[in-house]
Amino acid sequence: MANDYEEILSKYRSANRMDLIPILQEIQEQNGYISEKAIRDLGKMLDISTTGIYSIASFYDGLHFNPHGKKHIRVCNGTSCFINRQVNIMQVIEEELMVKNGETSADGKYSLELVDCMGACHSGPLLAVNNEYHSVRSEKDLKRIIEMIRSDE
Amino acid sequence: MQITIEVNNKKLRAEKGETILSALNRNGINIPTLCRLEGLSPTGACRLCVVEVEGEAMLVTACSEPVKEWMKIRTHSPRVIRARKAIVELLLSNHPDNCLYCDRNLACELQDIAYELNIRERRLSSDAMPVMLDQSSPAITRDLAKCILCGRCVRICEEVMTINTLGFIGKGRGTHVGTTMDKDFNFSSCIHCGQCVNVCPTGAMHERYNVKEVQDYLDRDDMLKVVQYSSLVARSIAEELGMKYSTSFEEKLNEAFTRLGFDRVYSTGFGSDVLITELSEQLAKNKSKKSGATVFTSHCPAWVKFAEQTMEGVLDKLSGFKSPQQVTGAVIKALVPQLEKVEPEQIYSVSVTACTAAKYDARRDDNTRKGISDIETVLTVREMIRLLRLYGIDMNMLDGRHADEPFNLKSSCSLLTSLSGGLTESVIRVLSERHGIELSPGEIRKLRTVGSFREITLGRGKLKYNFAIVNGLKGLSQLEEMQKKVHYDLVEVMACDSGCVRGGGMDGSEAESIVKERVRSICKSSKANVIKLPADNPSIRNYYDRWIPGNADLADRKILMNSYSKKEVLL
Amino acid sequence: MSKEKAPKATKATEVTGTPKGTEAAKAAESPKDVKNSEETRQVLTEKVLAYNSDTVSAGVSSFLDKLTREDNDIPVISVSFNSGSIISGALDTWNAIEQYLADYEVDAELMHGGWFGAINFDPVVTIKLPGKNMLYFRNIFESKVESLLNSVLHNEIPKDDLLGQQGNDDYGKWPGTDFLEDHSFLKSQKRWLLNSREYYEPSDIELYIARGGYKTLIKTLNSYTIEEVCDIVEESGLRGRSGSGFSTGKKLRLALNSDSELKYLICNARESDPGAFTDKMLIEGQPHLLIEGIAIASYAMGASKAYIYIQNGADHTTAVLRESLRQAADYGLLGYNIFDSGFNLDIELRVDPGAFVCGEETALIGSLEGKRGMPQVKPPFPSTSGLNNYPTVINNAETLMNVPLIMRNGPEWFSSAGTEKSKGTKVFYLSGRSALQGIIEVEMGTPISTIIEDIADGIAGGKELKAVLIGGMVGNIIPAEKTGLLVDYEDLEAAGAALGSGGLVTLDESTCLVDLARYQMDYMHRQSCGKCIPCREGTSKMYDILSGVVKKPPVESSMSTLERFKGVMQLENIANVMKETSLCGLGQNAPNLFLSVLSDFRDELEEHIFDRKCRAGRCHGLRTFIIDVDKCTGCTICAERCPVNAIYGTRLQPYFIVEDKCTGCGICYDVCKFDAVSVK
Ligand SMILES: Cc1cc2nc3c(=O)[nH]c(=O)nc-3n(C[C@H](O)[C@H](O)[C@H](O)COP(=O)(O)O)c2cc1C
Ligand code: SF4
Ligand code: SF4
Ligand code: SF4
Ligand code: FES
Ligand code: FES
Repeated sequence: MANDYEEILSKYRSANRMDLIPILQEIQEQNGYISEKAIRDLGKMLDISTTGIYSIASFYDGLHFNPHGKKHIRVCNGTSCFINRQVNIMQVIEEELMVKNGETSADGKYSLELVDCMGACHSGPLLAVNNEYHSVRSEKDLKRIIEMIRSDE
Repeated sequence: MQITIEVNNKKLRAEKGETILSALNRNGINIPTLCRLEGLSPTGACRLCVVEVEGEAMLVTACSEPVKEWMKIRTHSPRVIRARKAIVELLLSNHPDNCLYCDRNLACELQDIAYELNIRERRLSSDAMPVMLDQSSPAITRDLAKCILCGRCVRICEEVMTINTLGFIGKGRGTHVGTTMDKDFNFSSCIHCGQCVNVCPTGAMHERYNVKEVQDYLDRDDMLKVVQYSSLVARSIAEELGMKYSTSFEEKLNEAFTRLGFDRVYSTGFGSDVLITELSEQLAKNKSKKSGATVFTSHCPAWVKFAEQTMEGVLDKLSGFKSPQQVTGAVIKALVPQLEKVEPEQIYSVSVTACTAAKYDARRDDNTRKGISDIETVLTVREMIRLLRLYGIDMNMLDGRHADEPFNLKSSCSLLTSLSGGLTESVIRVLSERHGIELSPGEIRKLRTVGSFREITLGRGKLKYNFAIVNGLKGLSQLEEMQKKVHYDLVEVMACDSGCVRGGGMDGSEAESIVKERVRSICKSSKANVIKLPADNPSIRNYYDRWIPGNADLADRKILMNSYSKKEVLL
Repeated sequence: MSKEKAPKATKATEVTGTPKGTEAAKAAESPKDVKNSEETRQVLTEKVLAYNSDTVSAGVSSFLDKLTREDNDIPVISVSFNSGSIISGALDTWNAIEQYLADYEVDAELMHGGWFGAINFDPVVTIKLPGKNMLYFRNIFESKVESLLNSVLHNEIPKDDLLGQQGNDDYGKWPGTDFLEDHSFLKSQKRWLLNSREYYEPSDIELYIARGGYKTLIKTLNSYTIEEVCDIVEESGLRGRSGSGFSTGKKLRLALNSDSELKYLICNARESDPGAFTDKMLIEGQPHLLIEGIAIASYAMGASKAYIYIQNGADHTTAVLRESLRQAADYGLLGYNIFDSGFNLDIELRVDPGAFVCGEETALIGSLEGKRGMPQVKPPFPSTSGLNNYPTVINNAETLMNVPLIMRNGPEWFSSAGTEKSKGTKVFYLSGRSALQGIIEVEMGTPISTIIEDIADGIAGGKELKAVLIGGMVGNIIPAEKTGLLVDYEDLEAAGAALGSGGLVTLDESTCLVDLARYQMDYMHRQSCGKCIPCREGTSKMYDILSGVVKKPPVESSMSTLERFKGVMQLENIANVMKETSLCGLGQNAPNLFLSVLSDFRDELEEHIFDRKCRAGRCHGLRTFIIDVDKCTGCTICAERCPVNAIYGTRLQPYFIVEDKCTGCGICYDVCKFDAVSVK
């Protein structure tokens, strides 16, 4: 498992610094996250210090160092969804599911992320669980969705 | 080309292409800066250097904006002052302002700027950042709460030291300075050079404190307390205290140590002389054996750590000799028990140094023999001054005294070893004497020039020695290039540019002018010293002729040597 | 989706197709023999693209009509397919239609559609019966498919779901049915980039070429010198659509004149506005127009390498673009010696790893170079020293999409639309509280009020417009009274706003502007790159202060009140210093929104600060609750649950809330079984 990115690295053998971010993105796509070991190996290959790579990767919201939860919850933080919001969706989810924005819960079940407009503002406020989309128009909606997330393991 | 600019309604001459800041500074106009670093390109991060330029809607940063002919600049207009003040107030709003307890109290750039801008009231308040201390490193302590993210440490570590231990992590409000995966410092590739400490404007980085430890030992009567220091250390203490440095200052310093409670005061110069002697011997032997192997110096602990973590191929080429401090320390622990009739365990040995890496050096596994460390505690110059103040010692009022035998005397060569190229020069002097060859004047001049890489040749034919000097780790890339063409007998590497004179343990090392002055003064003292070569030094003669023969520990040269192995760190 | 039940959507990337993906496969197996064949390719390359005339032969022309489905033998059905409609359930609709066609053995072709524009109508289904005009139907969810197809395939039109017909006014016309152009949503628009005739299969290059696409590129390469292209673009008056308003022609020329063997063009499709989907939506509908624009602009500046920098998380957009790039390269429209013109171009798609600030030029370049996307001091400017220190031009996606139109129709045509200094059209993404939302395109010089009243059909539920937020996170709030402002660079700038990102968010009385300012600062203090002090600390501090304004502290003491007032008094000062001293546009414009609230809605802000009231009722932190003595049974549950012990009373007697202690959390309101608690 740990070396799932070996193939990616070999594909980029003659890579330079400009390829760093695409490589990180590919590794993440394949492994679900960027591991310390991947940072080390990549650093060796591109001759960039691990601090350098971590520094770069930690700058970007789209790169993460922990795998997402089984259920990855995305909450739209677009302006339209915000102004139509009736409940503080993030706060409720953080409390109910014990997971923080940008993190994965300790049991690895859930992860939570704020995202920009998803392009369907009219149905907002939007929330996505993996690739299922929900409108959160009321507290009741949210309760129901949280129940649904909790059920079927 | 000279152009005219107008600053605060006065015409000034400026060089075309220079920045506003450099024009201002040359003309004696001071404006605050925080992120600027001498010799590196501007990043424009702190925005404190803003000035008003006629015709520009925004304020512009003087550190990055080039001057233009007839540019009209106002450096202290109400608008500018308001902006600077607001920027500093923003920084202060969550800064832990327990200045009285801070390492940098009275020596903090943030404090100075706040004072200059006459900030007298906390108009913005929010919760102070919680203390986040990283004390895992043997040499350097970090306190993230005090960091104002000027980025100087990150840049010096990356652009000057080429180490890249520190980086900005995260973004927005969460931005902070840290190492890979936010791990503790001791897992990192840090070589403890302390350059980051030198450039940090606040108390966010400082050496690991050992003053308290020394105090505790000074109170103990059952121990023999010994201390060693080098001429550079004496010089820097004088500099910091605003006194003139001379041999008589050193004598006062000896007295000061005695007043503090040290039983014996030794000179680190002893270790330097041993090192020069041994290294010259090693080279001459190599030459006669025609083995031709390149020897790399190993007296800079920061360089050694660097080699151990990144240059596996070089490890078996390292000369193996410990740093002067550790050589002195090792000999103290082997010889002093015999002379003073104490057990080695009863000796508390302190070294005062210009270098933060020396703290790490003393903690290396191979600097402890049979459970006894060569050196117990290392203090930086900064800490030493604190200790002097703590004990209320006024150096001006002291009478001098000599250092203690058997490590009291030093050669003029030993002084040079705190300069980059100094060890090489010393070895050259010894070898010239030995082989009866003269160094050409041209080569001598080359020895003391600046630049990150130098090479010197001594002798001719069978007795030809090629020397390379890597001045600051940046020079390693040039070495690599040159090594393809030239075979070197000795490669000297010192991690910090110019050598220990830029050490991380002394204030002022970040300023080019101060470092230059230190170099000049060391060269001067070296010239004035009457003992020229290590072989002329009675302490050294005694060591070889009198002490070694009767002492099994000393006879075992291994106490002078380190052994190296690949170090696993997060590079 | 507009229904509560959430349809299951599969991963967007799976849908639109990687090379082997379903799209290409589906197209190939569809009946329409000509598609994807060697013959088609030959006709398109030799008889259309390489053909040395603007018109094509009659034979080819009818062949092209077949390709574009202008002329169809069997019914053509399409489902709008874009990020928004996928969320709305377009996939289920697609599957239902497919199922229907199979079940009833209907010989019809099913295609992907672009967008209609108003996302409220998604999923939009179009049906074109042979010889008839194309009909647009709105909100065709899975459940509606059967009845819709049952009627339309039998020539009956269900009026309820009908948006209109599109086509000619003679033989193909459906009598008694409005034309799409007359729909109120479209009537006041000028759709150049959002051309609804270019609706089917946006990423399919064959259809694009058949509709006249890429011909302009070939013509430009063969008959114009690079200087001429710069001239034409400059003459047209096209200016950067990202808000800077810099002349695109001038920018290209600057790079052209810089002496360097390597030059880069970067298409900025980062869309740094969390409340807009403009560029992404544009690209999803017209990916090849963007590619063509990039190719022409690269030619004009002498670049042989271009990058498209697209926003992270826009999986569908990225897939569409990736497929389109693949097809363009396959057709020899990208790569080495394009159509024997001697011009080479490689376009690389880069997905932003996730940072708002990477919309800024130097940060974007840093990110491409594999660094932290932190803005750099200028000079040097990218046009002289950009990506890897080579001259680089960065243009917004919308800007570049205008370029082929200008080359095709001439600079005069382009400058005929718009105002004196702002030419052409501008695309917006409308959202918020308006009745209709989605992507629109208007002529420069259109009043904002027209957009809201006519195009967006006012505010939902007949409410009043309070203000609009224009320009996204670095934009301004324009109060309803000022919506007479014209969409043009000068007019907006004069009003202190900017024609920045295409986001246009409509706000009504239910929106609290103070809370909106807090939301914006929340976003900014997380997205500031963290490099310079005024921006990093300024956004953080402003956020802290505004957060204090929209809620009550746990304990309101005279100390905390004083601190709050002090903070509020500093807000304006911080905002001004941020504007004056920040390194990049993010920090310089981050206070805009707050400052516009301060100047136009000062009373609302003061109400929050002094009266601790929110007129929109949005700032829950300012609420105080009161217990109705008649309803309260003294069950004690509220007092037990109150986190700050603000509720007192004796068991079985009515309880009361101590206002000074109440933090407005609303738990008592939630837990009371007797409806005794109400908002004061
Ligand atoms: C914080 C910030 C965010 C920006 N975001 C975008 C963006 O999302 N898209 C864009 O095209 N330009 C953005 N810009 C402007 C770009 O820096 C650049 O000016 C633009 O891409 C030039 O294109 P144009 O000339 O076609 O307008 C942003 C600028 C700043 C300061
Ligand atoms: S001590 Fe030297 S190596 Fe360590 S972090 Fe500081 S500058 Fe870098
Ligand atoms: S630790 Fe010091 S030098 Fe480094 S960024 Fe913070 S304040 Fe600057
Ligand atoms: S203004 Fe903000 S985003 Fe721009 S450089 Fe400064 S900190 Fe970074
Ligand atoms: S703001 Fe949430 S979908 Fe647009
Ligand atoms: S010194 Fe100029 S921005 Fe910091």
